[in-house]
Amino acid sequence: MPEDEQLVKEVVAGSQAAMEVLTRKYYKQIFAYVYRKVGNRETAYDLTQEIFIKVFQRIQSYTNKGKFSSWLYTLAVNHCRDYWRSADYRQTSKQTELNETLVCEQNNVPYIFERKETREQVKSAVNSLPEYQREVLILKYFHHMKIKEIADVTETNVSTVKSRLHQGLGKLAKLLKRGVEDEKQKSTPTIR
Amino acid sequence: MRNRNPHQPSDSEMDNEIEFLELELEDVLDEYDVEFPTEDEIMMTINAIRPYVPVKENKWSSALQSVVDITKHAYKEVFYMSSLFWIANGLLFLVALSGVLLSEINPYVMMMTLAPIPTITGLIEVIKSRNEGMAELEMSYKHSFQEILLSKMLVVGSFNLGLNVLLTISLELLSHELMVSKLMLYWLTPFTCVTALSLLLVTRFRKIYAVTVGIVIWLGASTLLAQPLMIKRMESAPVEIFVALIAVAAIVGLFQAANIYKRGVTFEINHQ
Repeated sequence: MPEDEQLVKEVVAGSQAAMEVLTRKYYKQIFAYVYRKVGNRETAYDLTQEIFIKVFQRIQSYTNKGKFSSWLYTLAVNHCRDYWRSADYRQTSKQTELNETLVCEQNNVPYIFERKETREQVKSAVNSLPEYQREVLILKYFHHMKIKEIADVTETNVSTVKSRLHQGLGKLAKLLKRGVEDEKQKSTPTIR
Repeated sequence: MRNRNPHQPSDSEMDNEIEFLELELEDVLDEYDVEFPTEDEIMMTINAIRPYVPVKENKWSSALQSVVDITKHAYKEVFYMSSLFWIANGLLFLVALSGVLLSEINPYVMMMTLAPIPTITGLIEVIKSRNEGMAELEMSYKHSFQEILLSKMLVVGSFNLGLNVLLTISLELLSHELMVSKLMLYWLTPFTCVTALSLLLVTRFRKIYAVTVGIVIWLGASTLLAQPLMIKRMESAPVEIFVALIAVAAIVGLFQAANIYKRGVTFEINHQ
């Protein structure tokens, strides 16, 4: 998009206004990616901020590197991968596990709406996928990227992306199907 | 040639399976929506990023460039202003002119009272667009909020300035007894003060009623100033006081405009 390149030029020249336009333009997309990747709003907020800081720290190295959005997504993907390997993640995941146990106990309360329940099921199913499979799945379904674009952003090749997508979708289908069957079993009264 | 794993599907088989799974899961995946941050949280991120934007090499040339950009954009903004704004303020000009010519109203007091009205009413345009249309303009991702805001304020201010100059010239041509310098002093003072105040207000208040309150306050203040005793006091006041007021208001106004450009303004947009 020529507008992005123009805005990048302005940022490089020191324009705060252009930075604001670029950030606002991509904030939600990047936040949505990170949120679905980490499954936690607060962590997603912090990581999104770090990603944008990284973007503007490295903006001078962007020139002639293809689409700005792809470059931005590559940074986001890598930043999330780094987070995954970090001590922060291990700390947060312990906390999340604890919270989820509490949430699971509370889930027996019948007032939880069905839609909310489906959302939570999808969320935990997506979160249970291995990192690389989740990554391609999110980019494909929630960001409507083409296989080739995903390969560029994740710095891999087309067949690897396809294979990860295939495996990820298969697992997701099984997990969600199992979830539905469990729900059915819960709701069917046992006849003795 | 590489041997293919017999358990691994071929490329076309994989494509078909992906397509099948896609269709199967599409609706369920749509349920995974996102809890987006609030506008204030986004603004906090933007403020956290500011120090990482490369520093301009030549501050003066880039400041000049910013002024040029805002002026260019102001030209486009002229077409976005509602016709009501132009008509209402045009009528105001005619009322002022006929008031001075047809009745015994003091032309200086008349100028002083009417001088900032187009700026105050112009604020309705700015605030209205900020609440309604500005989000759309922002969606075009070409201009930041502050550029749009300042451009609109520039249109309003220039129009007001032009109207006042036109009124001064008309009054001077029609009534030769009037002193142009005194006339200018009487409208420049409230005009600069109100413009500076508007720039301060526009970043802090979001609702249209703030403008209504502004108009009421100004009309009240001008009624007070139109009292014979007040006119007498004003006329005996040294010119330096008026000049100092104009200078202070102009500096505050410019400082506030630069502040808006640098730091931005917090806006509320509805999230999807």
